[in-house]
Amino acid sequence: MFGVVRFARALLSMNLRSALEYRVAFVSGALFMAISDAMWIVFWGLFFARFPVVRGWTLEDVVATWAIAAFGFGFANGFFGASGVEGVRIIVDGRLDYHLSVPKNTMLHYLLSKLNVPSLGDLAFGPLVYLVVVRPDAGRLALFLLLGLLAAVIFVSFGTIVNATAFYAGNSENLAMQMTNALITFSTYPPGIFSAVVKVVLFAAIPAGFVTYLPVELLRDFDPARLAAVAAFAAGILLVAVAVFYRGLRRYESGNLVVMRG
Amino acid sequence: MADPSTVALPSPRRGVSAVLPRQWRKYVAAFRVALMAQLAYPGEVLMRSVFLLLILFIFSSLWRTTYGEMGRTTVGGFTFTQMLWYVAMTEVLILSRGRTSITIADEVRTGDFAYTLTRPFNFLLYRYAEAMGDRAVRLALNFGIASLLALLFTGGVGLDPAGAAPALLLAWAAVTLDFLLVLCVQLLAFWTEDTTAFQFIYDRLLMILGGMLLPISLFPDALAAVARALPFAAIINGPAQTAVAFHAGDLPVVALRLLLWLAAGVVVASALFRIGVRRVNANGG
Repeated sequence: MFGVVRFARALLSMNLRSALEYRVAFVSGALFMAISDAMWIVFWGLFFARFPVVRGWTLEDVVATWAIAAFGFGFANGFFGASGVEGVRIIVDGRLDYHLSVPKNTMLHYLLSKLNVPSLGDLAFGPLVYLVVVRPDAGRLALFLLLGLLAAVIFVSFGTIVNATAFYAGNSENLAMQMTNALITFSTYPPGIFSAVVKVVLFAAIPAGFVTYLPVELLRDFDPARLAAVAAFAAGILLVAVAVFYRGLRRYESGNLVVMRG
Repeated sequence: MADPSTVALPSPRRGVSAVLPRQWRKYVAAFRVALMAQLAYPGEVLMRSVFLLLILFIFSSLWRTTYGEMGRTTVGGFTFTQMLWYVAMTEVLILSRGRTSITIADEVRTGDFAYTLTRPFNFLLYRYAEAMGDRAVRLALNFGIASLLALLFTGGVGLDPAGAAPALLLAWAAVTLDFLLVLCVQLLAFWTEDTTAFQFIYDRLLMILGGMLLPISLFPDALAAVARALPFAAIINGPAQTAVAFHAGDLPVVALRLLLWLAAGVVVASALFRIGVRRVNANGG
């Protein structure tokens, strides 16, 4: 266990140092993603200025939704870059060979092989907008960070599952992109606008319910049972992701691609 | 020496090329090639329609709930049906921009741009023709898909028949203005190499101040006045609002704003290109 943690820390450190070699690109990439997120908050600000309450949700609740989604997605896609669309390209291009040839956890190595700098802007934006708009106390902030990390586990796991379709269907980049977009998009809208049938889908197939809906309810009104449900789902989907990845890996064929690795 | 009676004469030109002066035929050819290239890959367009389905489904849910909670039939001058068709039309315009418009910065950065300078055509006109060929297919397909989805989600047609022709003209002028502004951003590559951040900011300003998701009539008054004066509203809000809620009295102002911004776009893009080209360093080999 400690070996896995040390390995992950070493990979992250290497990726960060590599990205920081280009400081201007690093800062501008993260900054402009944060600005992009802020534009959505502006949209919701304009919307709620006109329509103050939508099915019991106010601007503060939507900001909390965006904050958790941004923090969770930023952590997942920022540090575990291969859980995004790039992960499909790694499989399709035959670039998994390198990860298979070293005596380390293949899935972890694959997920941590890429650092996505713009997503680090999401990671920074989430807690910042939550602090500025909602002004939580220390307990609520700690709960927010915990829920954001659980959201990150769900994003990484969901991304790994959809990327694993590449083992079966070849270049499933478009499918992976659409599924990930669907999860992110549904995660950032108030759940009250959807019908009961849609909400079932948003808890089962596209787990936006566990990414933001339940967490926002927890931030409004803490319930240990709900927190346990979110944590259990995160653990469960992670186990499914591991199983799906390694099962798909049995079908993997090398592309004999020569890759220069620095 | 060849027998003159057996020399094949060039085949007569047909269609638009037959009536155009010689110097314009290359731009028509560029338009046609870009158009055919888009038609060759319908799968890519269909995949984009999944995104349209997602956005229109979510916004139909949001606006249906909002109209229900407000207990009103019109909000900001739009009925629910008109509101969703408005969002559909703004998405049609936004999603019609292809990658041809945003590769210029890459060409400047890699040096491929230098090859373009040696060719016997006006760079700006050629890229415009290419971009419009690309965009024409996307506009048509996006309009068809978005209309079907809006009809599915609202049960009605939210387009104003009186506004159809003006909206079509405004839409063409709007995508031309969008091309010019994106070109200005891309030409900044002569100075900054990487224009990704500037493109990002432009797209976000277009989204918010262009009235993509929320009509400008729902903005606070002061912000609405500022937004209407900027080019983003001319690109998005103007054509979309004309298509769903046409007011003949507003048309001259909307059209004039668009024309003024078009003129400014042409001047700025031409100037940036002229100044930037002097900075091009081509490496041999």
